Amino acid sequence: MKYRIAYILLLIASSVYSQNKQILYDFTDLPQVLIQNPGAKVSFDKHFGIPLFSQFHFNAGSSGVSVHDIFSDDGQDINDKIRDAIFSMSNNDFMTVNQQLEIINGGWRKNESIYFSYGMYEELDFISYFPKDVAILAWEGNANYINKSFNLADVSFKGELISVLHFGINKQVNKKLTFGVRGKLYSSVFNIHSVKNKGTFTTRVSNTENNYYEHVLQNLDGTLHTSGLSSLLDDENSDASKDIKKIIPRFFFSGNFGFGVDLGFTIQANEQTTITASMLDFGAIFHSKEVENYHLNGSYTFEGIELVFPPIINNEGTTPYWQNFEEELDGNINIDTLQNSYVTWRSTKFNAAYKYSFGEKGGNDCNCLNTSDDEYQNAVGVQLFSMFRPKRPQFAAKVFYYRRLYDALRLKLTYTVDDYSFTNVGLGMSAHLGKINLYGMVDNLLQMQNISKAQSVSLQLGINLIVDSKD
Amino acid sequence: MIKQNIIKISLIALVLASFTSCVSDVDFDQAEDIMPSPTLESNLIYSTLIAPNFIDQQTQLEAAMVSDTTRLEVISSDFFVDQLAKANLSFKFTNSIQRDFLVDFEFLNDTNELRYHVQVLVHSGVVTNPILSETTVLIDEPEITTFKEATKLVYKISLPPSASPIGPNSQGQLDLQSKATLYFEL
Repeated sequence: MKYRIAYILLLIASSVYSQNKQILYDFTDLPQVLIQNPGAKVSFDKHFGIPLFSQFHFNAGSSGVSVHDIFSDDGQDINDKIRDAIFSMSNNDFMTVNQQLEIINGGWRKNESIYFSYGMYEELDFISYFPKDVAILAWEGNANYINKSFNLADVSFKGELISVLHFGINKQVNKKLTFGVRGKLYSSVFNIHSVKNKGTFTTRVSNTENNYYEHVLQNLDGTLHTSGLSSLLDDENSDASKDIKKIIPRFFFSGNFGFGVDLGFTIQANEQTTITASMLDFGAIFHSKEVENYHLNGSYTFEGIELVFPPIINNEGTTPYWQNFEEELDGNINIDTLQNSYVTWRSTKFNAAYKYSFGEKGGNDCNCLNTSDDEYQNAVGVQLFSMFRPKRPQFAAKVFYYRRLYDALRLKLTYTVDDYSFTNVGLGMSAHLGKINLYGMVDNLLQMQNISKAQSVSLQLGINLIVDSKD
Repeated sequence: MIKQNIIKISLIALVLASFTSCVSDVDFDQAEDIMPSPTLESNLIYSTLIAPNFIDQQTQLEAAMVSDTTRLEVISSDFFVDQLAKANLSFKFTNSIQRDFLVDFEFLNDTNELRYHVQVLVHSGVVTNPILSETTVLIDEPEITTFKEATKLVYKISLPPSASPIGPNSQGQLDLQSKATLYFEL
């Protein structure tokens, strides 16, 4: 049963794919836009997110299969469906989960041109590529794959839980240019990663003809890095609440700290055209506390146990063949536990957008309220997103339509194209009722009727207080 | 008024969208039926015995029986006991000694009780024309359960009385290759 659970996890893990908070990007009505682009052009004078409620963000996705592909109630044997899924995916398919919770988020305008913002959020980030060769070997075995080399390089994943304390400066240099920078202090609760593994396992027809086969472990070289995990896994208790008590202080004082920076700008090319770009999480975390690394390396060929029939025949078995085999294996394939510190780079993200605004100005179609500012009611544009990942960068492109309705409601409808889906329509809504701001954003609306068919799910929700002196 | 209504309607729509999003046509109970069933091919033992190996060192005469033993602890490991559904064992002999052999593969537990047994008659060959023979046995229910109690394998070669026994000058060799095909149900 435990193996089945592992398989289900592997498959579900392989069935989610994520992007970032792209609906939020360039949504300048919301203070959270500054987290996506510290150089966003914001007009409000002060903001304060409701602690713990200012933003919940979750996305998960898979470039390979959906939950529906495996669990659809179609009368087919689930084992056949899993087998099909394993063979339909490649080792470049991946699953990601990213979740963030803002603990605090606030900001204030220092003067006409400078806006400060600060905050703290928790982030859980996980990505695993589909370890295709390992999955085939585990699902089917080697019997039908004599002479095929199973590649350990397919194993590539990383996961971490961190807290981020940040402070940003947003400066409007002139009417055309706004830029911003945000400094970040990371505190790692735990980290686990295993990338750049090497080596193969092959069962081939014997060249020496000593036996049927040669089982060859060739040039194995794999590393699993962990920090902050051993005390959570080693302890005797299975009591989750004790683990949580252990985790919470580490959001502040884990000892495994890191630094990062966000940069961004807005160019107001003319009254109607805006170009923005940002780079997020350019930084690294230094792991030195509670580090446990495992290093596997070596080569070994196994032809079977050779019985040599020692000349003197006595009753009890003679040569300790099995023990010799185990010692030889241990001698050739090393698994070392190391405590050396290591550095992880954060997954740096890039955003860019071109926006064209048009239509009437002001937020009131009926002109019955005199609260309008000088913003256009409509905008269309394109956005690009890219993110560094262990094997290769991840890309997405989006077109959007933005609309203000009655000053109090702003909508953003998006259509996203990426390697994984061509049917991703998303919607963002931000309601502004006096100083209170409520917002919600959801991707993959077309799959809402049956979320199990979606290869990605992304949502953000939150409540802010926004003070705008123009109100 | 219109403004408030639109906001209200939009918020209701958003809330409804999140609630109506649902999971349909899926049956997670199927997880119960998930059963990976990998089949592994693995070498077992091998040996190369030349004719003089069958001479008793003390008497310098043909031995009646020679044997060697190895532990195979993996057979009784938890993983095998819990997950191994059936197994094929294959034994391939190449004999170029002018002598018939009766071979016994005895799978024993720690107290030397026989848990599984394969017997093979290997016919005599000559150096210029080695005789090849291959035996495959399937171990399925119910024998597989007792098989999985084995911890060691005895490879025993008996030499039935013969008019022309092996002598110090006999030529040829007896080679054994063996493998297991293991059918797991995880």
